[in-house]
Amino acid sequence: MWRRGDVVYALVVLAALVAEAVALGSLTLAFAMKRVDLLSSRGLATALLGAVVITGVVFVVLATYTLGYHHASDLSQQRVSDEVRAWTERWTRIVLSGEPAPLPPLSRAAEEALLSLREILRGEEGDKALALLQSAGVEVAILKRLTSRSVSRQLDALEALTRAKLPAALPHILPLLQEREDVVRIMAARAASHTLAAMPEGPSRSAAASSFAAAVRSGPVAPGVLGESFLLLEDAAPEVLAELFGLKQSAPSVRRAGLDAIGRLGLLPLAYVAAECVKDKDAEVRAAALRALARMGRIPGQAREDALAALHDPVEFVRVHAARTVGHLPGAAATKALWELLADPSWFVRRGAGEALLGRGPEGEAEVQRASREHPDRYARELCAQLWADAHELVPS
Amino acid sequence: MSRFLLIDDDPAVTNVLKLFLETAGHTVAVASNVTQGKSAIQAGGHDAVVLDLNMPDGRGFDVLRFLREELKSTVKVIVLSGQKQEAAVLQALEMGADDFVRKPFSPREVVARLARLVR
Repeated sequence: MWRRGDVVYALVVLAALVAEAVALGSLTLAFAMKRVDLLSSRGLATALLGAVVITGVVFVVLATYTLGYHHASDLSQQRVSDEVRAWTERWTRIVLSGEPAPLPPLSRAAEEALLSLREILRGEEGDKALALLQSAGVEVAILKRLTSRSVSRQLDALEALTRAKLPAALPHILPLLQEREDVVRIMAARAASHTLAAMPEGPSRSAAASSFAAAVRSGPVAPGVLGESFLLLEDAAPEVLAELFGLKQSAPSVRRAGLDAIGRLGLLPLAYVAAECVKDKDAEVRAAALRALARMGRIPGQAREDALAALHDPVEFVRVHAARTVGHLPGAAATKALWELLADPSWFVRRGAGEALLGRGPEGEAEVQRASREHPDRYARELCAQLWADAHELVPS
Repeated sequence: MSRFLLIDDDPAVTNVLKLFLETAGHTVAVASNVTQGKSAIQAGGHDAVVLDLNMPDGRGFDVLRFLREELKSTVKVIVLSGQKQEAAVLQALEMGADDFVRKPFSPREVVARLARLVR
């Protein structure tokens, strides 16, 4: 991906390398000819001097170009920054007093200043900044850049859309989630999330949430990026996630990211989604569902039996998360199940069970202490003794 | 009419608030980083400070600590930040901020909160 100025720099470096290669080649040839007496000492000295002079010139050209480039960049940056500042003041006056807005096309500095205002303002002034983005032609200019075949121009447009949060741009952003370039898909996911997050609740946002869920369900975006996008949705997250889990063909990686978001955002109204996924056929999804329930700390009634059953899941990491989830279940049955899990063949599961017991308050602590003496499994006894000691070092009585 | 100090590195934020506050008849001074902010606070004469948390040369918490612990000042402070975590809000309030407003913000709301604080 070439940025502005990269081509000129590459050409200067290439010219310097070619000049240096010619100089060194000539010098090698001169030494070879001297060795077989085809060149006089004077001729060799001339070739040597020529090579040194060319090397010197190359260094001077490279140093001058680099210093000149930095100086020009600083001046240009300062000029742009002054322009942006002046435009920020002008846009602020327009927003505040209703002065007439300038007509399109606008300079990039004017666009940048208006985007900054849109980014920081909400309420009536935020709406005015949004209206200005549309009436002053900024929306059209950004969408034009979005259709460019240059990746850097597309990324530039996506970044601007992330800041502009233009609801009308969403139909143009969502198709980019299927782009070949990873970085375009990532930026498109972020731009879409920010746009949805800024939309007020209502039919438009519901429709946009459906479109977003449909666009990501096949897993075009990496799970980590998708998870981040779900968190960026803020108030719009429940709508998108409810839509996503309403779709039958969501990829396991998408369901996993969605469940993580439900847990992290503490979306209790969607706890039923996590409850339904506790028995998913994909182990990562089962683990994510249990993790989400544990994070929320509330296990819906319909998931209690399934969470207890997950303690016997064939996959080790699912049992670890099941132990943490069961730790939040009230009642003696959960305590008994965790006691039994202390004898699991996996150390990680035993540790998870012990920590879950400790997290159950005085009753769980008493069980850990009792297990350290009375549990039939020798490893369970040792683990509980260790957990008990660690817990009491952390909280001295 | 009151005198306010805005400490924020984003010219868009300071411009908007300055214009709103000046239109309401207040006097406004602007500092665009932590160092300038501390100097302006030390010079005194402000009824309230609007403080950003993330600036190029340090954190707004440093200014807050300087204000409350070193100068023992009781000047009113509103923290205006894009940080969404509850921990940041709690830390700011525990360190002596009088109010916390999240970005994006409504300038009218900030002006109203400042007016209430200095009343």
